[in-house]
Amino acid sequence: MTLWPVLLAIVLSYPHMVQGASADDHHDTLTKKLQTGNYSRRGADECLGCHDETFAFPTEKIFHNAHGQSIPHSPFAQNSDPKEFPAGLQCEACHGPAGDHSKQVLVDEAARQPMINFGERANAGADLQNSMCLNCHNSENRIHWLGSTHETSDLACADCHQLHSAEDPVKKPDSQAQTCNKCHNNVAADTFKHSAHPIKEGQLTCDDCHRVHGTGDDKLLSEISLNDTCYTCHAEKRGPFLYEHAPVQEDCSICHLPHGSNQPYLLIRRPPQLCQGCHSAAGHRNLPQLAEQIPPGGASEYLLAQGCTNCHAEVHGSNHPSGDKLRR
Amino acid sequence: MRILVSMTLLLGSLQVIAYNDQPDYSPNYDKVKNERWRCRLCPDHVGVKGELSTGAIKVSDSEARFGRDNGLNEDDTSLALKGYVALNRQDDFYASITARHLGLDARRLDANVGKHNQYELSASWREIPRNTWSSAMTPYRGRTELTLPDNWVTGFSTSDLTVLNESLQPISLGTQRKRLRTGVRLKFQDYWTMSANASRETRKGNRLTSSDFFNLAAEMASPINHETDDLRGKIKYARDHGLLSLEYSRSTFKNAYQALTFQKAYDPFIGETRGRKTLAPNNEATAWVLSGAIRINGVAITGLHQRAEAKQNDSFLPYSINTSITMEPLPSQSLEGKVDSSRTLVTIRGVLTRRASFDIRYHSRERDNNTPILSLLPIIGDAFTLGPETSRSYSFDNDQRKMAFHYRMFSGTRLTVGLHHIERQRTRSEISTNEEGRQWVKITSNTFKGLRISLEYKDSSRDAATLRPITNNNPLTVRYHQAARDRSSLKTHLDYQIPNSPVILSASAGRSQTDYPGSTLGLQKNDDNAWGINVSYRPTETFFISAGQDAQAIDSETYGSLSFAARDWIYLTSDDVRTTTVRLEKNGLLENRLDLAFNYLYSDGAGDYVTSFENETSPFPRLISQHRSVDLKAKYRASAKLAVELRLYQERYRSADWALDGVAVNTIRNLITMGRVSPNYSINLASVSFTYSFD
Repeated sequence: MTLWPVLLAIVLSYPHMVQGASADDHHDTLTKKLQTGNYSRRGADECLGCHDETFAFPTEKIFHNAHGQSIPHSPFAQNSDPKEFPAGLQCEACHGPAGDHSKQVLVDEAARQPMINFGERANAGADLQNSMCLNCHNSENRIHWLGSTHETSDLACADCHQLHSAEDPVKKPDSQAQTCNKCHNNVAADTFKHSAHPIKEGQLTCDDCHRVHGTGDDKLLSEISLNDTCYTCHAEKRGPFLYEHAPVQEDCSICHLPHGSNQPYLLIRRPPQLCQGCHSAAGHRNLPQLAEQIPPGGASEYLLAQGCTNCHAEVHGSNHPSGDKLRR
Repeated sequence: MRILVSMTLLLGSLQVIAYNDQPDYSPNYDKVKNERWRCRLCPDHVGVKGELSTGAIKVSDSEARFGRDNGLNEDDTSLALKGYVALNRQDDFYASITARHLGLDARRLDANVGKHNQYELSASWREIPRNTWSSAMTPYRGRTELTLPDNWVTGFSTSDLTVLNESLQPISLGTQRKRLRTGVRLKFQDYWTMSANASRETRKGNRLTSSDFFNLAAEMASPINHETDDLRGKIKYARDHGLLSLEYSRSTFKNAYQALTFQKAYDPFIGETRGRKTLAPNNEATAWVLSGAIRINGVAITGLHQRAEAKQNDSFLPYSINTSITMEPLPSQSLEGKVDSSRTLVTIRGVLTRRASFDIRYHSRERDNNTPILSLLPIIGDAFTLGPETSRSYSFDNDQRKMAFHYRMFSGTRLTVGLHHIERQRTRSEISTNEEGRQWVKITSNTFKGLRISLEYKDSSRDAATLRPITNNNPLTVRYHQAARDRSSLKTHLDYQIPNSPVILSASAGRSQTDYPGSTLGLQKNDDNAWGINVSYRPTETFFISAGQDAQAIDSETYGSLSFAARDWIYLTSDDVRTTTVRLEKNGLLENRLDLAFNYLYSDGAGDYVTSFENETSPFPRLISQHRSVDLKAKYRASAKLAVELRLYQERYRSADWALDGVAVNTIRNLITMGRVSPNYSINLASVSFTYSFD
């Protein structure tokens, strides 16, 4: 509770601290330009006269991907039908109407009227940037975007996607994780832990388990629940079994860390310490396991090798009539 | 906290009343005159282009962990082969085929053809290795019928098994998945899209398991020969302000092996010379999902309803393979297992003013296990019975209601507050109901140019129903996934680009504290603290250097009772992992012919376990897992079409695990282990490849 005064102080004083120093101080100008709608007379030819290969940020590679090709519904589609706009509006489909941007400014380049920029050179808030993308990309995959974890974190589409490249790295299995790791650096570290899913090798990509544009749950899982997401690769654990292990059916993350763990099998702790967090019946289950029980002092079957699963090997459920203790 | 969040939500409502200036980012197309836009400067990339790369990869030593997921687990020279070919035609037709790692067990091939916005056909082939252990030894022979050598001598304990050591054979543990996936997507009449995917995955190999005869056990390899077929079909109707889709999916899992039979290595008591256990049973799951979305006047409503069914009806094995004991007849020949599940999700997201928006979410999940409950008489260790047992099947309900209010305090800065209520219900459990309230506050800001910051505080409290002592657990123990729980977490992330400089500083920190106030025994607390820092420098598009460190510490405390009364022992566990990375890229050297990349990674994992009992502490040796790798890549473009790539990689892994190290196959009196040892290796990899590009 002691944090609350600090948080409140930050919230209340922040407006006074930051007045006049805005990352998206072009917001109003850009919004007004959109509403005014002064599009250029020559389209991309007007842009590419300056933004060629010699420009600080070359634009040519967009013509290698679908955004820069003359295909239906793309910015470079052959389209003059207003109902299909922004398809056919070329550079201005995404960067907004040119307005006075292309008017020559010889003295002060900074005075040039801004266009909507994306990524590291963004000059507008994420909501304005994203609205340009969502003018076209409003399909089912993004119906949960509004209100999703990424949207409410003010993530812009261009924070993950690269449009001016031949191939978007986030769509390639070998390089996708690098994009996600820019924010999720802790997950990147997880993949080098003692046990891990094969994420760093690109065998498992982030979007194998997550729908990053929103799914309705906070973890952006691709399936109905965490367990169902896991079953897409581990269908043998789906059951139902004659003898179920309740936490297994309830939530895999009760025992496992999904990205990586310092313990074997992605476990949050190793057996028996993990199992004895729940199981305390009289007998071996309530015995404290001591360091003296490992070699050379001793050799406990409850502690060494696989611990509890030396006998109770079928911890995910058993279909054997004698498997009530998950041993068969 | 709840009061504060409620007040903010109330203030938010007032804000909604006070303003009605929704942001309007809709472009105005009235003045567009693009009929004469020709784009003469736009380059044309129609035609065929591609790249083919071939070479060799040499690995200096054999080790399962080094090649755990990449197939480079043998001291061998492998073919490096990859490439792609892509075709784009003026008539919107395209085709491409991409190949990766073709010379390895991790090969992957993706192909697709189609016409933009009309149809696409795709196919992919993937092989996914998982090499787990190369240091294992076993006296068992066979795959589904594990037998011991003819001269095997049984005994009462492992020290009596006189031919055990001479019978050992090395065995590699691991699996190989092979997955074929095909798909089709059709778009017609602009509004309709239909897609279907079918895949078949086989998984073969073995995994570590163990089997016991009451109190005498052995580690052994369990065979894996799985086949999973997945089929998904979806039809979607989408218009500007809404869409509706219906999806069907079916997954069928088949196991070629129903059981694993194994010879008993120890003296039999009642004729139990063999044992048998079931392997994963065949199962199938189907699901229908109806989803839709509509946007009206700044409010987006999405809904989803899913109904699913999972079935399993494998024939039961007899209670025991031991025919010398009397067994009751089984109550049923198979399980007739059936689980019906459903999910309903409704979200309403409204943009109220330029500054304010909200989202409301209702999410309900139900797992209704309709499997018949059977009364059985299990045979323990294929030798005797301890009395009747009933089968175990569980059902769960999970209802969530969530409300969040987002307020843009000023340009680039957003405040979010939210409430989340969760109710869980379980059948046949000691704790039948949990109710949990969560609330959070989050601030994200990129108001300062070059600075992006987020701060999030969450607080939750979970209540548990009164424990029903329906198992033989100590009633003072509440299983931690059902127990009353208090959790608070604070997370922050910061990215700062130094003004007029190519230097970006990133930092993150997180702290999560979980307590189980209603549990006298069992897990008491779990803390997770993490931080990370990274500095990157990119003065030009061709030069990049970054260095960073991440650290995470997870600590837990578990109480137990030897006396089956109050607490008399404590487990303290601590996992501490630090990861250091250095990355350097310099491209365009030697007149834009040479690209260099260097990566260094060091992950230092330590696990400290301590037991306190009778006023004495008993610390275990530290668990160690240290991964250190250096990766140097160079790409030299000899011409516009030909390039040479060289890679030198060294990986060193040091580990120590008290559960394995010093534990020989017969160290434990009643368990034959596989003699696995913690991996320790230093392996070099060198590869050279030639890449030919064409277009």
